[in-house]
Amino acid sequence: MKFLVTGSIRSDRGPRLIVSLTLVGFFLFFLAYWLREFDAMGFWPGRMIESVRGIGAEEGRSAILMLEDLHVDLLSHSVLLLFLVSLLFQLPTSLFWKKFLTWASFLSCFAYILGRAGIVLSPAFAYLAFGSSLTSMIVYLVLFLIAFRYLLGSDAR
Amino acid sequence: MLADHSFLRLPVYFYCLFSCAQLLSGAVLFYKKIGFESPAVLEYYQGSENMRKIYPDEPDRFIQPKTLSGMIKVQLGHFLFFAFNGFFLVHIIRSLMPGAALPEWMKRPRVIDFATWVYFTGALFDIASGFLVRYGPGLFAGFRILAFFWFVLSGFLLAVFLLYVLWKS
Repeated sequence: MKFLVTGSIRSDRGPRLIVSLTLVGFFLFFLAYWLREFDAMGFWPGRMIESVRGIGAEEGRSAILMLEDLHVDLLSHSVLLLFLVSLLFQLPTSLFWKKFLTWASFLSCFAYILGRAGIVLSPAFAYLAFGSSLTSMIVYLVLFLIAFRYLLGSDAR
Repeated sequence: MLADHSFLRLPVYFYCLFSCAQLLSGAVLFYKKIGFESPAVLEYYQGSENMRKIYPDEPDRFIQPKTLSGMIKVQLGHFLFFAFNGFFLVHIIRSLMPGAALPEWMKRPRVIDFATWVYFTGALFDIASGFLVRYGPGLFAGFRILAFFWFVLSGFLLAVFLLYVLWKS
């Protein structure tokens, strides 16, 4: 894993291919994850509340199911963010933006995972989940974009 | 690696916190779905009928035994997490230990080797014990609970120790 600190990920002799393909795989996960979330939970707070707590005769989701989702998402996002943020270290951006993106990515992701599960306790958590989902998606997209641009850009050689 | 590149400490801090949160959520899920008592563990894996043969005073909740494919499906994600989590935590601890302001006895390779064995043995027992309870005698139910706590505590202590080493290095 020396490439994470030697800056060799763009060279022909470095792991550029495998890092790029891994990034593609992770990007597909990112797309699939949010598509699944919108389908299951909805996008707006009102829809999130309905899907978790139910509406009328329609049953919501149990606390156990929400906790299971939280349990699984903590792993998948911690691994994904660890990889993306480690790549961020090598990118030609200021230290301020690297730290800002690191804080923003982990905190927004954590807030979404907790907020989504918290809807079971109180509908107010839906607003936290909504705001943090937007933030998380935007930060993820920024991380992917700058990583792809750096790895695959025309000045990559 | 982290000693020379302080920026990478931040994601490692976050990962440790995420890891602790995941272990905590796993413990809550185990309590809610299975329970920390032998009859409850036995009922979860072998079903209510088999459980009541050993514990006839327990209520019948008409739970069906777990299927092999269902159990493997659940363990798929656990295999991945147990292996990656152990590798990552131990790898970073080992890389930081030489430069950290820790007592010398803590820096001995055998100490981290011992912690590594404890963690991975706990992980193996945690996974295997479920199958032992399902397909073996009922007495493995107690071992299932023990193995679970063994793994969760060892994983939690490893993550907390990494936070401590990060702070000291």
